[in-house]
Amino acid sequence: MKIFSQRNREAVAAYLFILPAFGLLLLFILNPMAQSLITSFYDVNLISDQRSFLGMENYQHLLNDASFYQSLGNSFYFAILVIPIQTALALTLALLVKRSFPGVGVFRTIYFIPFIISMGVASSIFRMMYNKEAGLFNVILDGIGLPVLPFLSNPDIAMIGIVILGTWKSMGFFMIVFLAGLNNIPNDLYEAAQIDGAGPIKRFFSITLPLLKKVMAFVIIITTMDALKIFIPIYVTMAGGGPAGSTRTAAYFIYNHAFQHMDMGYATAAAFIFFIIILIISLIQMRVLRSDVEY
Amino acid sequence: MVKNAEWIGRICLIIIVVIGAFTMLVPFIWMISTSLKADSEVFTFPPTWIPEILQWANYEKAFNVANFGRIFFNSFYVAIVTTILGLLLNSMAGYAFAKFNFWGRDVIFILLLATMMIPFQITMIPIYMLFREFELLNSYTGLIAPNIATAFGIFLMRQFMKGIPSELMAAARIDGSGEMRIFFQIVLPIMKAPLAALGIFTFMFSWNNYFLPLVIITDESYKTLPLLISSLSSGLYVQSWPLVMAAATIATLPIIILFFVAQRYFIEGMALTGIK
Repeated sequence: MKIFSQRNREAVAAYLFILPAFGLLLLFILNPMAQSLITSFYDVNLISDQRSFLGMENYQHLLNDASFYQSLGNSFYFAILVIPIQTALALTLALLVKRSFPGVGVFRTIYFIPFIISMGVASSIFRMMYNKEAGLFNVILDGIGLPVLPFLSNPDIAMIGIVILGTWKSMGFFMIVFLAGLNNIPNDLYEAAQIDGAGPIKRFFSITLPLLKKVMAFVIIITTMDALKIFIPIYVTMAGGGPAGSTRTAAYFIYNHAFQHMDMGYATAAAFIFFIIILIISLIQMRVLRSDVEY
Repeated sequence: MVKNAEWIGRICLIIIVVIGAFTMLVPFIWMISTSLKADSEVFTFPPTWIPEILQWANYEKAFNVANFGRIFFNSFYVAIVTTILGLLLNSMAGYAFAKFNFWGRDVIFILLLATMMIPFQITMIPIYMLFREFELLNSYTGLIAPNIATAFGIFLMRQFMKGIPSELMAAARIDGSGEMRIFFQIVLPIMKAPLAALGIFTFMFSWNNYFLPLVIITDESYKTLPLLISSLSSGLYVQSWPLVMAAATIATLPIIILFFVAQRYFIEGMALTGIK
């Protein structure tokens, strides 16, 4: 007896193939997202184990919470510093290692390596290197007669320390992305421009940059999302917020309220506002950076 | 004249590239260098790059700090199990999205891709509460389960599996093979390279993961390496940078070795996902 046609049988097989992975994503991403939204309307305190409905109260409190604004400000401050610096350096590196010369593969690998190690470990190494009196960073600065930069104790420059760490860690990845983009640009464009007498700077601005727009958009959008979510170096290198809380970012604010104050309702409300902000920024970026250039 | 300018340009380029590479390596060099120093030599001026006496004993001592052997095993076990299950489940789902027609396929796929946009900050609190309820805080299941299925993995496998000719499956069906058999005996064997790429990514992600263990692990015996290293660097167990850096070196080494062994798959996989 044939209950299922071949077509139906295949559909059933397809659903069964998808089920385990989809079930896990449902369990660990989609459902938590819904739970998170619900929790944000409650007062959920895990220490006293109580749960009571608050309506919009968590959100109202957040909108009057100066430390929340400050943490958002710190996240944006970090993002605004790190996006141009990291992107420019990654593109420069890609241009440098694009040509072939002896050992170019080794250099590409070296630039990429920081990306593959754990941010937790990288943050620990930088915590040592930034040590105020005697960390390598300041010893070198002192040695060549420059003023020391106490990243871990001076609130004005603490975030710069995180920018250096973040850029060091991630720019190799974006270098590889740029490299792939550069290799997609047809070489005859450069040859034609050279015949027409365009110098290297002119070639960069009128060929390379416009044709990299799509890759550039990808890099900027991903960098922005990652930068706004910066957490581990704040927690590890800055030992939880840095001098005078100067590096407390939004992600740190959320973590701190959830797992140090155990105030889950307040933390999820903050997470939701934070998520909406990231989403809006990404959508705006996708619109603005949309590329019509084809080649 | 032109020739000379070109040569000077080339030499400048190489000098810049070398200085850049050295700068990128400094934290690694400093990590290894410190790991071999005596405590008294850590913060000397001028800094010593090569320790006066190499203190190999630091590595032995690091192994005896805070249950290091067990924590190393945890990292390894969690990464291996996550990788194996991740490869299986993500390639199964990727296969269905690439090679089957069924009702709701595109909607489910888009829903799935959308999960990539959701930050861990949103999901971590409900995940924590869920694990608390089911007593999965401080467990391997807690460290493994949330990282098995990923939209990235499903997407990657789907992209590769789209290239498999459908005739291959049709022929097997005519021969009477079941769908499971087709998947395991025909599809997976020709997907070795993409599976290797995804496997490396998954292993790396799990080995390096910091946030999930931070949130759900409080018990010493379920910590993973990044968590241990960061606790060490905050001076929780010992006040000794050489020991911290010896532990950091041990934690970093496996991932760097893996990278060098599998570099080819790594770069190929990245080229296929990052762009386009």
